[in-house]
Amino acid sequence: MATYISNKEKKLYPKMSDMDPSSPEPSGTLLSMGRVEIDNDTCNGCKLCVEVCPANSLMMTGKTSVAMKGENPTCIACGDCVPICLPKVIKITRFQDYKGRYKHLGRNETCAPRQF
Amino acid sequence: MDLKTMNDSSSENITAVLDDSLTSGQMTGAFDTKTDLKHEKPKERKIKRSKKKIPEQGAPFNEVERTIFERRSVRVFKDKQLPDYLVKRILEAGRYAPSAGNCQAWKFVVVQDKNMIQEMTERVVKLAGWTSRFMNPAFPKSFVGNWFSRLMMKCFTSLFHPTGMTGLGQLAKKELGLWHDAPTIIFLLVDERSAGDPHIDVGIAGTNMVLAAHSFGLGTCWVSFSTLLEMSPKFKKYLGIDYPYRLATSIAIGYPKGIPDGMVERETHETVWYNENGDKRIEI
Repeated sequence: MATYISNKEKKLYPKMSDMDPSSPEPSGTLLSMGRVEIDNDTCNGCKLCVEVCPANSLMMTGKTSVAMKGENPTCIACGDCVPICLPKVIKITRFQDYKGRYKHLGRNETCAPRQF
Repeated sequence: MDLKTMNDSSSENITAVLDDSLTSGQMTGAFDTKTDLKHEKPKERKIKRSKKKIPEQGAPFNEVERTIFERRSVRVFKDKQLPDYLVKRILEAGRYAPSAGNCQAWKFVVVQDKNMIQEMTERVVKLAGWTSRFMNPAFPKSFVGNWFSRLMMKCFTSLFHPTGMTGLGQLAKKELGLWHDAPTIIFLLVDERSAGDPHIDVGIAGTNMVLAAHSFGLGTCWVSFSTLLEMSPKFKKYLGIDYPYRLATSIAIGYPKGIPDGMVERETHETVWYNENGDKRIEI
């Protein structure tokens, strides 16, 4: 069940040009950034998520609506926007993912802290 | 406050009974088994410590666990400076961290001078630019090509990690803050002569300090890009980074804007588990 990196995958590498945030994400890219979903109906326009984002990838599109910045936002899925939002309208839909040489080994689904 | 009064002043009492028979009385010359090993009446002594309770299955988190699970790295601070006693309290938590052979191979340098922080940030940004030009082909005016990054990623996989390289580039282009305008920075220096691996011990001390700060409601952020300051002789002298010390990392501390702490989801990792019967299983 443990994951491994095959020799074919080992030859791949994320090209440095893939990291440029202004270029669109090519298909089959080796490093994919995170994505966040915001429910704009319940947003109260406090702008705390935009301020707290360390990757600077959220922006206000209206008085009470927030969206991700740019075609290929640099979201690192750190989750800082999730607890600071008071009406709790933000949700992470995609986490950072490496392929090739930097592939994560033995990682599984995400979950909140579990009380065993 | 001495140790005796500190141990006595906690609210929970545990009464322990100590058998003092072997230490009571004088040892004078001949050892007579009949009289010297005689069990005298044991003296009752009250040892007061904080009472710790094993939680039941599915019990809610206690205060320490909540501090750990709600901790978030904070990058937006208020301008208000931390009072001295609070910083000392955080450093005390770092002082009591465990270390290999109790070598305590760390040294803390607290910097609250806004002008120096500004100068150090400018220096690091400039050094990040030069380092990026030697290491990152996607950085503007870079000296190296894609073949170089391919080769370096094979030989020095950790040093040329894509997230690290991107962060260095963003720092150089001033898209990413270094210490995020924090009012106080604690630099952690590591004594290289220590037993074992002193970098791990410095990390343990740093985590103690971060968890203590978060239990007060303060915000912290680990900033390891500050190790670029080792390339500058002026700031090496300012921070006191001489042999045997080297700069390991730094922690930016301040009052956070809003309440950034809270629980989030995180990836689970596979854990290999060997139980008492020798069976192997993989837990998530």
